[in-house]
Amino acid sequence: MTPLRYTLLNLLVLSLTAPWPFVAGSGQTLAGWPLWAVYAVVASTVYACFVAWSLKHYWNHWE
Amino acid sequence: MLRRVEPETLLEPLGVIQAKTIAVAGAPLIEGWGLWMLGAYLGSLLLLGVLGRLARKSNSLGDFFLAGRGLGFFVLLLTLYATQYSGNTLIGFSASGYRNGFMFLASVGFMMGIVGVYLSFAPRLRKLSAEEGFVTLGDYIQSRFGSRLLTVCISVSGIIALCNFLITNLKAMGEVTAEVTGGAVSPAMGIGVLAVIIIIYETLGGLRSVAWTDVIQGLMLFFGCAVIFAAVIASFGGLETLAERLHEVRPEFWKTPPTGKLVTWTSTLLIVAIGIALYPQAIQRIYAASSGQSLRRALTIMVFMPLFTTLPMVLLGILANVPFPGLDNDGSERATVLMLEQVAHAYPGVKWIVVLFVGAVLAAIMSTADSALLSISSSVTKDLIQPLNPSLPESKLTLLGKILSWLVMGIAALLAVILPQSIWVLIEIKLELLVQTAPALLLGIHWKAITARAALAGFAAGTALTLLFLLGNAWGEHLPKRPLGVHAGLWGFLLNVAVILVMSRFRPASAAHAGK
Repeated sequence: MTPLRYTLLNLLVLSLTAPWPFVAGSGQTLAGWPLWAVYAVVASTVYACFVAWSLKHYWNHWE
Repeated sequence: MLRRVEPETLLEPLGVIQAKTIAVAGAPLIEGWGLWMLGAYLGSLLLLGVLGRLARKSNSLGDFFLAGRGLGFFVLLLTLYATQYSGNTLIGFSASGYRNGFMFLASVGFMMGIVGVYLSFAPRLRKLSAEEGFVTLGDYIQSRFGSRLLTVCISVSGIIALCNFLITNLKAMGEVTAEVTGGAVSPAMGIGVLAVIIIIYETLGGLRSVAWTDVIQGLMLFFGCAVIFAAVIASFGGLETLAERLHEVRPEFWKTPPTGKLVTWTSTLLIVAIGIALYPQAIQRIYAASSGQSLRRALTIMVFMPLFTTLPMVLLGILANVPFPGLDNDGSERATVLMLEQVAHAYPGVKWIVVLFVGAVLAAIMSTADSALLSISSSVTKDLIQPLNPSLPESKLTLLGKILSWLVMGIAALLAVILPQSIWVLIEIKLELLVQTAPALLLGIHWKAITARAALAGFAAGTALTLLFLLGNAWGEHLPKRPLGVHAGLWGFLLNVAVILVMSRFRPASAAHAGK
């Protein structure tokens, strides 16, 4: 992957940490907490893993 | 007093630290041994300043402003951490969580997004800086595009953002000092004393001292957030119990955000991640890394830090609605302190947590202010003064940088004391302006076809569009701050990128040969 493609993919994945899948408003909960808020935290964690993986795999190639 | 910001603005805690009410009016938040502990902390900063001076290897710009490009993994991690998280993390983020509920979980994403944006340019930029001896972002822009005008525009844009950062953090220092001492120390005196401490350790050891003090400040911030959150949750009966009680008090927090709010959420993620990654002090830490691997490892840890810093403080603010429902805007800014006071009242043995909190707030504010000051003096020295006197030796430039630091700190401290309320609206727009620097850096570093003329035109167009909306809105014209829910700065960024791509695609043949 090129750095410019990564930049676009990174911004796209970051945008998906907003709870877009819940835009219809299901109102579900998980252990008492709103599911869309749990999604935001879990999606952010997945995003952090994506960045950490990208740092490991692409840093040396892009230096 | 600082201007109130509309509660629905997700960007609200990033502009101004609203720390005016972190203690009960008239009653000191800490006293006795707590004040001695804070005094010892401030004394240790001066000691690190002296040690930084003793560790100096040469009297050069690279040694003073970049710690000799020798910051290893551990120091680099904590200086990046302490610089990225300011006093707002402990005060502003909780207050926003209190008011906006789970919507403010956006802050966890955008703090991670900053590290994601670093990867777009940091590997290449660090290597180039080591090869060509860059000290500031302006050095890279000048080397890449060869345009003095573009370099000055981008440097001045960065200096404006940094001055904003410095003044607002100084103002917060004064307010925090006055509040924790119950008014025994005035805000002006608080600003004066802390500003003098910062300027002493900074001019003694430059970035080396600043980074070493960031180690202490970063550790205080990290453990402060973790301990405060754990203590509060434990004393209120656990997360699940709190969720049930929160639902009774604020059932509206459970409603799924409508599409318009999600658009603004996404816009906030993008503009904060791009804007903060472009802060000049962050760029200089990339330059200061001892190796690419040290920087890569530090960033790998950094991307997870919002889970241990931002998330707990936002949740703390949201949960403060349970014991303290119905707080107004000013009251909500005391959300963290109210929760801590509750814990300290219930368990007098853990009063030390309040001292830890105050120490962490001061540490976070000071580490942000000292980094901003160092970046301002380096940018003025290297990007604006050196080109006018290219024959000046490095030792004299370094001395000039130190003198400038004292001058800038003096002016900033004065402004922090006397600045009228009415101009805050102008300096709060820094992030949206700083984003306009990104296309020249992000596109220019990877795409040789980008010309100086295109980068300059893009910067000018993006900045003009952003200012049109923001200033038009501020001066009462019927212009939205966020057209279609998207920040004006992001629209400016998109126009900026479009102009650069179009002009570079259709550039004249002569420019194609001249471009690097």
